[in-house]
Amino acid sequence: MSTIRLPEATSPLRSERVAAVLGIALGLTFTTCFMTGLLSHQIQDPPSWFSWPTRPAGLYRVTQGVHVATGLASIPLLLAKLWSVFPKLFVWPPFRGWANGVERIMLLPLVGGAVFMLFTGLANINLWYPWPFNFRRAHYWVAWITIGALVVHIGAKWATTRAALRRPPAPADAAQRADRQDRRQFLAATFGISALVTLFTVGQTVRPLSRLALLAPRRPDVGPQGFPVNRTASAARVVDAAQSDDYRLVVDGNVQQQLSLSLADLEAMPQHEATLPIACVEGWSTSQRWGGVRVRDLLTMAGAPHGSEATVRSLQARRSYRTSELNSSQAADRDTLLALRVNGEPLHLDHGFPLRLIGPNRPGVMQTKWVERLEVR
Amino acid sequence: MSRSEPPTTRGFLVGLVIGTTMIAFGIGGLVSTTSTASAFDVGTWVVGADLAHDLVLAPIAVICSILITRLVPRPWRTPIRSALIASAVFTIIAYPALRGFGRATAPGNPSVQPLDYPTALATAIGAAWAIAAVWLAAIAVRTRRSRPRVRMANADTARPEVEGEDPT
Repeated sequence: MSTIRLPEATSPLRSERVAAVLGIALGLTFTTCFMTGLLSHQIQDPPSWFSWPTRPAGLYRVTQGVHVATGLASIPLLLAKLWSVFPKLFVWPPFRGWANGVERIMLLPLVGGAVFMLFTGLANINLWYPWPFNFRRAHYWVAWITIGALVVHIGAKWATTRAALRRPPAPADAAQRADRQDRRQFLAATFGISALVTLFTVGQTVRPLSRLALLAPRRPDVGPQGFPVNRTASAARVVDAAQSDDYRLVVDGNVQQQLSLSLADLEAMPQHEATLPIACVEGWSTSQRWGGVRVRDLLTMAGAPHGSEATVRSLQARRSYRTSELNSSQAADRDTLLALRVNGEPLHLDHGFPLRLIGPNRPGVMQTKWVERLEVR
Repeated sequence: MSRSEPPTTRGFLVGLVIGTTMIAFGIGGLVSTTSTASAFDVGTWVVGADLAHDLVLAPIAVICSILITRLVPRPWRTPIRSALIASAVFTIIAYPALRGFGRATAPGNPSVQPLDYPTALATAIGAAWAIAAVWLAAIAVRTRRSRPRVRMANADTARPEVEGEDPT
């Protein structure tokens, strides 16, 4: 085996051990991102066997906060790892036997997939879409491809990694000792930079650190009424419909009595308050005190059967996320509200005036704004 | 790099079966839930991501690494290299906000990318260099303190043997 003699191929910073330590770290962070990502995907499109609970109310905020924070923290780890193995790209001959050939071919979906996942994730939290495909589908399916390639890679590198992590031979001389110290400091610096990335971004969901969120695309306390907005009323083209005097909330479907309620009717109903987070899939979150009407009160008033489910519809025309689903436990939860107010004020138009859904343990995209209809099943 | 044995162990075969099944599931899902053209676009971007790293990012990193080795005295290298890596990583992460891409996607939404990102990025990079400066100062102090001992004896044996691993 020979390598093209890149000037850096013999850098003392590169070693099997450095590659192994960074590989293990990335294995953990990518697995964390994959699991939390799968979970978020199931919550948004639940298969029949999957039922997401309403408690703890802030669970999704944690799992999705971890998803985005871990992805961001992986950026320096991935770059350091790729740097540590870069000369191996030029190994000659390219394949030694079929197994080595398979292992090396799998580096394309592994490296391409890993860079793709981190780049598309970073762009998405910034609402930047420089590609011609649907972000969510691409990010989801390429995750399977990337993690599949990672599983192949782990199988292929298991023995190498274990060998590399065994206690290394003592340095023979001062030069080797200095090289080892350089490698340790390189690893320490990589993890340190990863920690700094977290420190400078995680404040978009961890409120006490919000002032340190220098590199995050959101601040949890910036926006109308003191918290962020994803889609504005004008972007959703509901400005007129939401402020119309003809606004009614319709409750229909599998009910004994169809309801059509004006804003005054809704305000005359028993009002309830709940402090619940908006937890965006893009990794920011903010907890607010919401006030309004319980969904379960509306279902009772309409004579819906016990255990009903409901589809919540927005005034928005077209666009994805104009509806969301409430399963039976979500519809029956005491804190699942159609909110009229936040922190005692009427909702800002961009936060869903006149009426928005807010429920415990739901992704932000499923906290439907400008609600006009509750379809009971 | 050490020569590693061809990985035809049982672990390799197990990983190969599970991993290729997941890859096939991912490709199948991509093709079945999007148009062929769209799946092809995604594939192009995955390959493009690999090439962007191998042909652009990695060569830049190699050139920077060579420059650091040539220009920076050895004791200072690690802090300076670390601060440079941190600066690059922070710039990559802030890049979409620096360019205001989110603001362009969501006009009239001041809660998207609300900061003055050139200042915010400079602050983050400044913090990394401040840490590097403290690190460099610590190295300078340590070097000065150890110098008298080095003069008294051979430079190598005078180093503190923290881990007692010296084979002699």
